[in-house]
Amino acid sequence: MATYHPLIAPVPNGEDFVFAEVKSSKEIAFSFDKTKKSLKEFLLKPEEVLMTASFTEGKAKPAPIDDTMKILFGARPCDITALELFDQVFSIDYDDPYYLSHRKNTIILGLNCLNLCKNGFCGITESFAPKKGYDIMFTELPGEKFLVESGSLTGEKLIHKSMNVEGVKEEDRIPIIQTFKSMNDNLSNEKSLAGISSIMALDHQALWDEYGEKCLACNLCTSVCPTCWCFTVHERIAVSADDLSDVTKTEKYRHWTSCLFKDYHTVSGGHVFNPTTASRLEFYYKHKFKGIPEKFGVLGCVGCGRCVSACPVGIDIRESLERLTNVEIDIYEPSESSESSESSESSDVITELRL
Amino acid sequence: MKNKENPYIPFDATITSIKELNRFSKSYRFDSPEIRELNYEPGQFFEITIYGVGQSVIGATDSMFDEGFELAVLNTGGLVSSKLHQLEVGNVVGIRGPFGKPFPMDEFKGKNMLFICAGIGFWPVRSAIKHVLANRSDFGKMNVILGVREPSLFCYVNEVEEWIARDDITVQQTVDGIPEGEQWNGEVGLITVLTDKFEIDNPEDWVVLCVGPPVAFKFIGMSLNNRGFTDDQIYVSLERKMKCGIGKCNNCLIDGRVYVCQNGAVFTLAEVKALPGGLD
Ligand code: SF4
Ligand code: SF4
Ligand code: FES
Repeated sequence: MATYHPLIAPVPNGEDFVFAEVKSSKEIAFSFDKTKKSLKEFLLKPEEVLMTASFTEGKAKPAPIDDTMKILFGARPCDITALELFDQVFSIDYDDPYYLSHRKNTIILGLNCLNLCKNGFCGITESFAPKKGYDIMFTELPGEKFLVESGSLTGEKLIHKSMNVEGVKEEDRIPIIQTFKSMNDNLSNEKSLAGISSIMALDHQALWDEYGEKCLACNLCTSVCPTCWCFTVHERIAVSADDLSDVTKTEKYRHWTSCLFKDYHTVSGGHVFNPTTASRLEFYYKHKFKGIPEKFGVLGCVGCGRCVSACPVGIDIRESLERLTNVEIDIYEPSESSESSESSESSDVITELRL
Repeated sequence: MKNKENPYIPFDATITSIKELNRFSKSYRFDSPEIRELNYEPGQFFEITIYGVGQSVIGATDSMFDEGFELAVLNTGGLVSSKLHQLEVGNVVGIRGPFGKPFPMDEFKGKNMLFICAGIGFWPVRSAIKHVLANRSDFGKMNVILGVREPSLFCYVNEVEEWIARDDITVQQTVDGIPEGEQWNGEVGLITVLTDKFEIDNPEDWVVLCVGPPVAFKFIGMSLNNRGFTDDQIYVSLERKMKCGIGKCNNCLIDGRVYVCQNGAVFTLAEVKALPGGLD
């Protein structure tokens, strides 16, 4: 019996690509630079109700969690690397049932990058070749073929159930090895951010002040970032459309926020702990490059470059990292022609995997 | 913490009594089956939810050794604290917690205890004072220093009178100033007028618990250093914005790396001073 699972995949959106539910594999963009936003919104919802309760009596009940099994195609290696961080964040000490349920019910189909994307610097952050975190990884081979590898039992099962996936043949050996060789040549970087944690402990006031003058604290960078997860929690009265007179139903809900917002650092009584944009940018960088590595053993940046593309005033994390570490980060602008064409074969595989 | 399977869900508690502490503050006692099983230690804190309105993080003001679970709330004029002040006996609120590291009271056994309470910093310290009183023979000398802005802001006045009447505890009080119409015969001046005069010859036998606004820590710390106390002997409790209490939401981070809700809120002054922005 075929079960239908919603399929989320990259689709064109103006000049960009976004993840959206698709009904047919024809809608899917197989050659896309990267999606404008990361895939985090499918796992840590921009807003999510945590529980409902009665205004007068309490009796809080966890909100039902949408546990529809979804398939997400087109997760880039950087986004999958970021999941290594999120998986830790939402299971360390206390399980976060909302994230963990969405994570469990989202089948991640990764798509390897063969070239650096616009504004990306995943070589420096070593996040172009995740070792886990996906169910299946696709790698485009010459001749409109894809190498399909499982990264989990779920992935393994899906591949085995898919009719048009064949075993790797002897003649595929060389192209496979060459593809990975060229991927490595294109993406890896002998430079790294070694020492960044120690460097973050030094005083960089001049840099923060300079960026603080420019930054609008608009939160665009943090909302597109696959490694930013700050959220806030609120209560509200949840009047249901069925019965407008019933105002006793309440909800506790959370939504994304940003450490660049002043409000994020404001306590009851009005005191603000990081009152200037400069101090909040310092906080942002320190969290990514010192706090997160200390607690989770990974960098708080996977080099996707989305924040660079998103920033309306041109704050460029590559430039900040360069100024902090003195390590030069190459700026890569992909040329239109280097992009591969759509592959009919890949769409067949995706269709097949929907079964 | 309760509800480990879903750490975001509070349990219900009914308000059983409300007391006015001063014109800005009230204390609340609660009851519920969960509260009767609650285990918490001085220095830990709770999150109180007014269903449909908001949530707020509050330090325990009581110890488990006497009348029961109590939280005190200052009306800052904000949505949640002003709503809390409108609540009545019988109303139901949600409670999550306890959160955070407590004061390490066991490590303090055998030590002399100095409690320094600036303003509403008295409330969380009161929990530790009650712990020491309930286990009085485990500790050495006991001194309490209280400071408030003006005489009418002193809280738990009857209880403090009882402490003053005891001979195994020394209480000193000061006010920043005396507004017109208020009476005060005691010390006038910032809390450091009392710490500056604190007479001891064996500072290493003491532990200091100090809670107040962070700016006060700087001056109190300096004054105590002059009396021979090191920053390692001084325990403080920090206030930060908190939304989850369990190290998930990042709102309480200091310097992008220290979670006040998990690594604190109790720290030694030495730890806080080593933390950029810790004393902000
Ligand atoms: S900080 Fe910028 S480059 Fe790094 S992961 Fe976030 S969006 Fe991508
Ligand atoms: S996108 Fe740019 S301007 Fe907006 S908050 Fe981020 S760094 Fe500041
Ligand atoms: S209060 Fe959420 S991380 Fe500390």
